[in-house]
Amino acid sequence: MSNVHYNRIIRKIILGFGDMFNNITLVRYNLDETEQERFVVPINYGTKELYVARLQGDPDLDKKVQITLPRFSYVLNGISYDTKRKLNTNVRKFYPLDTGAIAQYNPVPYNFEFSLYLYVRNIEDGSQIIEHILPYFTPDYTINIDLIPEMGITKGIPIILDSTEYEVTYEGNRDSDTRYVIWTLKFTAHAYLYGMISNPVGLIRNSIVNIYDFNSNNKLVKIHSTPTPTDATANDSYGYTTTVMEYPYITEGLNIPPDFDGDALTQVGIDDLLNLEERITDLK
Amino acid sequence: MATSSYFNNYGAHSEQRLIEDIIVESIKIMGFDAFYLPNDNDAARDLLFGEDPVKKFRSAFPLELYLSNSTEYMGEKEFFSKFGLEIRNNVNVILSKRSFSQRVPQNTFTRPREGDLIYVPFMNGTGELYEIKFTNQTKDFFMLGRKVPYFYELELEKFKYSQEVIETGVDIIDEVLTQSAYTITLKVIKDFKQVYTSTNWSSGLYDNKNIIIDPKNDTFLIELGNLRIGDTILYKTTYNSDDVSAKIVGIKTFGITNYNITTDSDIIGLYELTEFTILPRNVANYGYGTYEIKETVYQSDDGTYNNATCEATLQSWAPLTGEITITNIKGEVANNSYIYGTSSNAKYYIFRTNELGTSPKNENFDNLFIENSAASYINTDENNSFGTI
Repeated sequence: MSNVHYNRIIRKIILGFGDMFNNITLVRYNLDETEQERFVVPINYGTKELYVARLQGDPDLDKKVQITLPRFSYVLNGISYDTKRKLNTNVRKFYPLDTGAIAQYNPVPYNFEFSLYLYVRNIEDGSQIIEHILPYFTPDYTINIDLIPEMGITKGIPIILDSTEYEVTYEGNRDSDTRYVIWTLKFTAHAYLYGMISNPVGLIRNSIVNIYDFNSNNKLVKIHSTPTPTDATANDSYGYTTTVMEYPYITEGLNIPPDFDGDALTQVGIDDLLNLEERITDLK
Repeated sequence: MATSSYFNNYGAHSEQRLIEDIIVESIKIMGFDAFYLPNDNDAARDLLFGEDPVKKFRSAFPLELYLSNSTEYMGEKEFFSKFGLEIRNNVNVILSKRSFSQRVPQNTFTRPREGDLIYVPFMNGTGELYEIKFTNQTKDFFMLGRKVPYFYELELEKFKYSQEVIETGVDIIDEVLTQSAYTITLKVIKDFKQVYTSTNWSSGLYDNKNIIIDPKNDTFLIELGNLRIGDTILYKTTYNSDDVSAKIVGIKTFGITNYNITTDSDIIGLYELTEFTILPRNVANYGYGTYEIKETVYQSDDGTYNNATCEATLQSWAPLTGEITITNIKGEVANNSYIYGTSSNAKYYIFRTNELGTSPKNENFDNLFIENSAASYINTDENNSFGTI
């Protein structure tokens, strides 16, 4: 574990979660249901340092009001390993670069538990916002995040709504504070954490496929493919040169179609190769 | 009656009046000036939930008050929660009933009502806005048998602002909006060039210094309408495939939407126009007039207020940078549309809005930061379902 890597996945998931709720517009209506005003509900991540909260919330020490409502806040409560989504840890995914191919082992599945808080002055405001959010979670809503752009890995992360709580603090004597109306929505994001990306390794430029007859154990065909040009990199424009070598006993005991000419296919393109494979399959 | 008929300590009106005079005078001597802001839209009260989502504070009555707790704020004071900084200051103040009756219209507001606001200009240096949490009329405990109170003690809690309308006409109070209300910044000046090609016009010709265009879309038409003599434009024709820079020396309109723009170009001949570029210009090219701060501004398809599709209160107007900030927005603010001032009659063309809002000075939130930070790796192939309700 001495290597250095940081994929910023936790940060991405926190931002991705907040991004779902950062553009929710609340419309206030008059009694006749005409619009009175509208505004986007503010959102912030909850666990800021106190001094940052003070510097941002009252920079010149002249704040005239207690707080501005309604507003969202959200917090990542914790993460836990999800055994149900375990993947084979020996499998690697490769990604081509000009200088070779980079690789990364399968990710480990982790559940991210979030709480989204909504603090409103008016119950009506809270009702409208919650009624807007809940239908999207059935009970999950999936966001697509480029978790590892270097590897071209984009994952759909299901965000599952686990619970919805509603707290109104309104009882008390006359010294009590004014009413608090707070909604708490708890979510679980089914995400993955990835390990380090390996350094680039060489590209495969020669591919040899041997096809055998299982009954006789005789080799039937040898297919050798190379890129064209041979020094092409993964991101270049390139084709393939494929050499197919037939072995004599390929025809033994088989019903060969009259137009099957193995010699003519010694230099073929990839489409021909596929045709040949189909035809050999048909023959067998 | 069981009490002595020779002594009357609870019915002497002259002594009661004396006490009241002394109380009023004491408050005047030892108190401070403040403002009472009643909610004048309580007809819109939601009787089911018992709340006023659309409060409007549109008047401020000056009053003298006396601070009961003279050493420190009550309440939890600066409270740091997941919602950020909350300043949970509470104070109690004394308000004489006589002063209230004299200063506040008694036909509508017979007493300081819970839920109304008190603005204390000196507190916290630049003033604080408080909500009346409880009006205590028994603090004097019926001194000398008076049935109505000599004074009220108002138990105040610093106001939880919830985007209410605050238009009192008193600048230091209305400043709450610029400090804390949801604010959109509109960009008037266009600081990038706009290139139009032949898909934007039905016909476009260059004819001996004259560029004759019949625009096909409204955006281009409005852009042409904003051109002024002296502006510099770029154009390409079938004769010159590179941009030619020219200054406008005359603009004529003909037909319904046709424009004849005369330039100082020295190219002679008749050619087909292939590209027309409008360069960034100053604000004056995008409208006229000077908005008045606090005036109502609106957007409308036909320019009339009656058919407004959006209206708001203008909080600032910076002609040099071409930025307008608005609060208390009703309707959806549209890009590429004029915004009109109701009292100034100014109008300017809006190119960009930031609907996520601009953090007011004293209200920091992360909407825009989250949006910008997530933009680079959130797959936006699909629309954000959580958008406007």
